[in-house]
Amino acid sequence: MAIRKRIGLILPSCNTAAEPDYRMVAPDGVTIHTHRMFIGNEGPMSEIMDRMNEDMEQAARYLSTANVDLMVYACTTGSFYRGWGFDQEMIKTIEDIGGVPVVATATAAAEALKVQGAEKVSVTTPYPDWSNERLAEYYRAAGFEVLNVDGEPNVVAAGGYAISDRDPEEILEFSTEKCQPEADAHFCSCTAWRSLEVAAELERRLSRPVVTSNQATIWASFKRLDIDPRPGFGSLLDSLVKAPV
Amino acid sequence: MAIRKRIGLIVPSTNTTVEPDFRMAAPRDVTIHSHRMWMDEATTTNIVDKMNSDVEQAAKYLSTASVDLIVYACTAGSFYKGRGYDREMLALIETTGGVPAVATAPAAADALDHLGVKAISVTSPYGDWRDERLKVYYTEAGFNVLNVDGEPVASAAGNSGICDQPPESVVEFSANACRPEAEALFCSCTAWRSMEVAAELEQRLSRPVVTSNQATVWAAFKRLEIEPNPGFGSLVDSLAKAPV
Repeated sequence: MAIRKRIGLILPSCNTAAEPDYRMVAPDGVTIHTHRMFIGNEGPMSEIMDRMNEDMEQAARYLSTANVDLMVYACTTGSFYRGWGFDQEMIKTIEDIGGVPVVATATAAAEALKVQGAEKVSVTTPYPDWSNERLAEYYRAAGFEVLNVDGEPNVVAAGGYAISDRDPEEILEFSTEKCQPEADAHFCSCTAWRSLEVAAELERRLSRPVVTSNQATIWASFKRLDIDPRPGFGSLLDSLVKAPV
Repeated sequence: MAIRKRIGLIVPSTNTTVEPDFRMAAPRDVTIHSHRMWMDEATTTNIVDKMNSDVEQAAKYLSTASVDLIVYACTAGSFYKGRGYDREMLALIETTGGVPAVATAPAAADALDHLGVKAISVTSPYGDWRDERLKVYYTEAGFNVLNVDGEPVASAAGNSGICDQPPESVVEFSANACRPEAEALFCSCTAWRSMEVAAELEQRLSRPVVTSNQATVWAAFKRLEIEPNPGFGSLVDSLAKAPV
């Protein structure tokens, strides 16, 4: 039995969606290992994100002792809130500490939307306005026409720690309603939101590609490590499946 | 769709076996969330002291994930200071995390008690002072520890290298090290890939086999009334409601 391929996840401490999402898509022989960054639930988002990212270097150091083959910074807001370019600095910092390739969510989602041939995108999120505005700035700087960014009101009212408690059906209904007719693709942002589980169904309903934060992050990770994902999580990931789906 | 049951794992940073073992045994509606304590290739008591200085932070971080239970998943880290220290550690995690806690060394003792055994053989990947401390802990817990044999290849591979040893090697070494008079075999260490071969070892030895991760999964699932995926030995299978 060969040594398994190992993926190291750097996660916001409250996030309980990214680990099971990776697990659902990963074949046998690929294992997932996590270190968390502390995230608060109160105060201005910019301060919450700054505090969280203070833990990033420690996470890379701890995960490097586990001989992981790749490290993943799996938070969308944490990688877009300081603008296009900051994500690349972050990736460089983690690579220098960890000594392995690195993937970050905001960057991975931009690459995924490009691969899907999208120019005009609609976006749904579980975020307050501040994060939605930063998101639009980042993806505009990345070259997309961002038609709309809509925060789902129930989850926004429930707060950051409750994002992973929301039902995937709620994401499906909200995103179906908010995707604009002229959008080339739809993007469900946030690695704590359970959108990956309904990505394929959302694509069927919208008749266009759907990218979600965890789906794009997994896609970028598996592409880098040449891993064959389990099918059924949307066209982006299915494009990596070697056996016919 | 209901909110899933969540288990928080505190693991040594070098350990890449606990997370997949919990995932293998967990049904789909149970999710596993982990955080690491610093560990490197050192094998002194000092490095274990340093590792355990991260316990409180790990419990604090995992509590923000609204986990239903926190697991301290390191055998040596919970037995090296004897019976009593493990309880203090559980109390610290429960106070910080605000949820029940399980730790490996006491979970394995509970598992062996549950199986009704007294005389045990033990295999490990340690091959150093940890084998001695293990014997002290389980003797204090009331067991007749016949032997503690450290597997030399894993022992020489270092803390992260333990995880690289194939489960087949764990079977071969443990099958040979188990004494005829042992009522059960215990494979110690949460980094060692013994849970995957626990059922096979039970067949070969015709007696119950307890492994660190299997006992930890059993204690965690029993507490949360979770039905495990079958196939990881009689201890975990005893929690399966459907016939195995």
